[in-house]
Amino acid sequence: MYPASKITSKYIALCLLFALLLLFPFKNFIANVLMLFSDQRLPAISQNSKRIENLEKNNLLLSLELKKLNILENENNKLRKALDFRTEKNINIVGADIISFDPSSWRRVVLINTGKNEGLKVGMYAIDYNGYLIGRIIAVKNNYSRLMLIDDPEFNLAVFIGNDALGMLAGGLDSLKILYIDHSDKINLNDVVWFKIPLTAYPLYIGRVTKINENKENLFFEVEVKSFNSNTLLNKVFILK
Amino acid sequence: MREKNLKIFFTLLILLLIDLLKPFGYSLFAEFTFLGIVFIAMNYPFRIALIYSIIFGYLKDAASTGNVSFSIFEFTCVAIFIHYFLHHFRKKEAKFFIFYGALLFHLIANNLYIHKTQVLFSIFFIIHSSVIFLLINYILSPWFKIPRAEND
Repeated sequence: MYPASKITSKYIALCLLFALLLLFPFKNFIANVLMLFSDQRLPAISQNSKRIENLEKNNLLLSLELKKLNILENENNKLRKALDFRTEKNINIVGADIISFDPSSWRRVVLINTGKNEGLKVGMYAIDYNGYLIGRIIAVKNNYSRLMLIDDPEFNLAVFIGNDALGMLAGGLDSLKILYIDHSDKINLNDVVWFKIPLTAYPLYIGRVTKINENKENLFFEVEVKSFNSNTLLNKVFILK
Repeated sequence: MREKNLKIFFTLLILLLIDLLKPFGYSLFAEFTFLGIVFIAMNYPFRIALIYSIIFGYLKDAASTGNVSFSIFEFTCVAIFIHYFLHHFRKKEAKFFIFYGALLFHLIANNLYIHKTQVLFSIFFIIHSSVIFLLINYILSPWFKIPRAEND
């Protein structure tokens, strides 16, 4: 132990000065000067840190949104159970390579290298890299399957147009068409054509309305659709299980 | 004769492989096997053209989606018609009309087969097929030793 009397006045003065520096608003001034200096000297770091801050902010918002959606999903499931609706199933994705094409130019059918062994079944849907619908499985063997693309003349599918209308998408080599749309349905150019995978809540987007043929003599509208998937050189597809 | 048969067989096999692998994807509207059969039918005796049209019609049907043996029937008809018309019209210009006649027959037969008329596609098909057939002629004629005057 050192008695207080032994502490010299020099040390006391130093301690007081240090305390003064800590308490004095001058501290903020120094910090600001340092920040200004670092901002000027290192603009890239500053930009990156701002980007990181924004991303963190977005991440937080998204995680909050996800929590909210989880709560809503639970609530939805409870209500579905209460109302005795069919429960939704989750989907899984299997990647597949295209190994060959139908030799006829009039067909749009491809052979893919996954089959029953990977759990594929007839009627499953295929999407491209961007998640747009590109076709449906029509035949499955152990190691390979046949996939009919949406522009095959024999392809058809019940689809939604925008928010209100329903129709039947028919494939074609010239263009995709939607048939059997009633005149009372409201359809506009650029409406999105989509469909929902059965038993799930996942929407799959197909294309956009490009032409509406309103022939009053016909019972139905005839609508032309431009597919979102414009890649003619397909090599990889993803099957929704 | 054996060498000639091998050349025809491998040429048609490569053309069938191009149809199956479609290196240009769906941006090229042409059927290489069909054009190969037309080329063989125009430049070789009836017996050879008929045998190869049956073999490659069968192979094409085997690789196709439908259950109907459509290509055997179509390729055989094309070989028969080409030889029939070549027998009756011996002029050099006749080959031009016979080629487009075969192409038109192929278009109509396939449009009937799918029960749809694809106008825009058919126009592109004729244009692309004409160009590819010219290329096939240009590449294969020297190899098959077909005189240019007879071929043009």
